Amino acid sequence: MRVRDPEYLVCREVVEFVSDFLSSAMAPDDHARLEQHLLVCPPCAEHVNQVRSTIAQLGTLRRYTPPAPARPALVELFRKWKQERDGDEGP
Amino acid sequence: MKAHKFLATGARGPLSGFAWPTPRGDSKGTWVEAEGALLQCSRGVHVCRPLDLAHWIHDELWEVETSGDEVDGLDCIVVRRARLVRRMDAWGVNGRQRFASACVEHAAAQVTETVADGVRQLLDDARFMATNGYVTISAYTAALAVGRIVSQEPSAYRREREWQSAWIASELLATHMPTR
Repeated sequence: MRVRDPEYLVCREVVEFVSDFLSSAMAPDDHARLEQHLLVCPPCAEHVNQVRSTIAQLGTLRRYTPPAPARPALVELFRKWKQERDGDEGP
Repeated sequence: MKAHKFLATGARGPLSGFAWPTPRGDSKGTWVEAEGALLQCSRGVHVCRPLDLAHWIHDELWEVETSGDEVDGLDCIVVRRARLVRRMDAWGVNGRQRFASACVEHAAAQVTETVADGVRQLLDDARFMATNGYVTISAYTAALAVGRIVSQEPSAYRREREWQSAWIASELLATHMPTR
């Protein structure tokens, strides 16, 4: 995916590309344009720092497998939540 | 090769936070060296040629010495190794303020009475920011104003950035600005 304007990008694109930016998955020129934007836009720089920090914190979490007896209840809870979110009554 | 690099206060990379080894007494800073194939934005030491300067404006401007292989990047050059030589005192409060004012005036000279209100608003914003010491965003906004003038060619923004870079090079660094 590439930024829309070949000369500079806008804040909305920083939000759109932040994951690609932090994982170095952007085309080099687009990466450079995003860096240039961060230098002139403190709110976007803060946003990128927050996402970076969140990713780092998530990386420190231990993987946890719930005990087998709790799984059906968790699955049911998730199903209910999804139905409420989607407004789907289900079969 | 001599090049330049903008850093945050305390000789830190503005985005990476990397603490650059600073010169001590008569000694230059320790070399900072990259390993592996040089790649823009990924691997290598990124420094400015004169015409790149305006894109990376920050608190401190340093002269750096580079050596080894190098590759061109967007508004930068990626080199194998570099070290800080000296901080450019010309990029102080006065120098920055002069630069911001020059950017606004140069942009204003291109704004005719027929431009859209949006362009004029950008120019007013740039002037306000320059007056209040927001040099980086002021220069950017001034270039943006020029780029938004309908009658300008599509590359007007980048051309204005080159003019700003040339101003820093000639007025503050006494460096000849090569043309593309």
